[in-house]
Amino acid sequence: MSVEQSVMDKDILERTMAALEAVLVVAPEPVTLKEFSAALDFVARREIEEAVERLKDRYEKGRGGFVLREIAGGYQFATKPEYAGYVRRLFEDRKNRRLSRAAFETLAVVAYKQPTTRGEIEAIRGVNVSGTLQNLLEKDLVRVSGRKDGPGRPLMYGTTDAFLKVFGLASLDDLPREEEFS
Amino acid sequence: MDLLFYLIKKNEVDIYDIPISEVTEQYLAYLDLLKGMNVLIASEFLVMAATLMFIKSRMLLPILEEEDQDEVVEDPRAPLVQQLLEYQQFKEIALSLEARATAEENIFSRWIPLELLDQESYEEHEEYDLFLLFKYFSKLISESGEDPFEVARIQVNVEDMREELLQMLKHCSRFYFHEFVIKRTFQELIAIFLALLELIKRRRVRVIQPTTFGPIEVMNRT
Repeated sequence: MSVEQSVMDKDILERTMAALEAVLVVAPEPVTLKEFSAALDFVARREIEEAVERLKDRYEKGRGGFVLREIAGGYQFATKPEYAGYVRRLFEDRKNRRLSRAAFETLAVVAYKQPTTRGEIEAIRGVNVSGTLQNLLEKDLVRVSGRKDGPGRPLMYGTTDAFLKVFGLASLDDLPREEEFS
Repeated sequence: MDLLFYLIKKNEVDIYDIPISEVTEQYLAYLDLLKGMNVLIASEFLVMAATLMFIKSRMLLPILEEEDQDEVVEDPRAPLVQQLLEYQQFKEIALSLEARATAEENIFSRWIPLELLDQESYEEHEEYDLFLLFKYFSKLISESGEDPFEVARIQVNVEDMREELLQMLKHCSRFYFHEFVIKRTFQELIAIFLALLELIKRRRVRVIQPTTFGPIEVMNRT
């Protein structure tokens, strides 16, 4: 959509985008549309959505070192991959989440089968997963999402917001479809 | 499951037509190898071995041919094949997740990793010294509106009570238990009870109750 087609006055749109930027640069976590609305309560939700999209587009096309990214249900500034080397020199240990192959496989089952139980994961992987599951719980990638009705009422597991962040997903719908894997 | 998957890949066999006999043999050979290397074999391996042998035995049995039965007799390997296919799918998903995570490593944003958060809270804890903690505690107590009260430390031990019981028995060869425990504190009662049990065990005293629900007497065993 181009600026000419906008429902908003150009000046108001620019100011809205600037306000969003101000909120974003301070936020330690992704900011949701709801939060934007709360901060800019004089702007209609639809207009905020438009401003966010335009902002996203502007950073994408711009020559800056970062973009606006949709992640874990919100929006956040994130560096462009090509500048990772420079960032890493100063903040080396920021990403320290190397997982084992077993952890990735378990996480894959949880992500696609959630809510799922330990028994269901073990049926697929054919091994005991209690240790791996514990590890994923500690890393906050997996959470207990309830109990299953049935014998023993086993705990059910699902993924967390941290999971979405680690894998760069806006939401679970962002996961590649199960059918894409033979 | 992983081992089975590996064997099927290695043999380059059709997953829908697994030569069960061969695979079972190889599977068991691997288990032997693991055993030889002193690796503790997890129960899961044994379950899989049993499954393979079960399928093998089923396949050896002749299929009774009944003319009027249109039903296709299910291949005993079918459930295993299904399981393998699903496992393969999740292995691929896991790989794609891993690739995603790797790509993400080159993207930084303002979220604070958990590890960092933890560290910060530890540092905060260190700043609270004992006196500060005491101050907060006193404040909490005064805010709660309840008067602080002193808790007297009463030293009651089983040995003292045992001596007392034995002294008592020196004076009189038998006495009523209920008289002995008059005006005792709760802690003393527990100690007396334990001491008495110990003396009974050591065959120093006898405890009798001449009438049902009647008074209990303690007496010298000798």
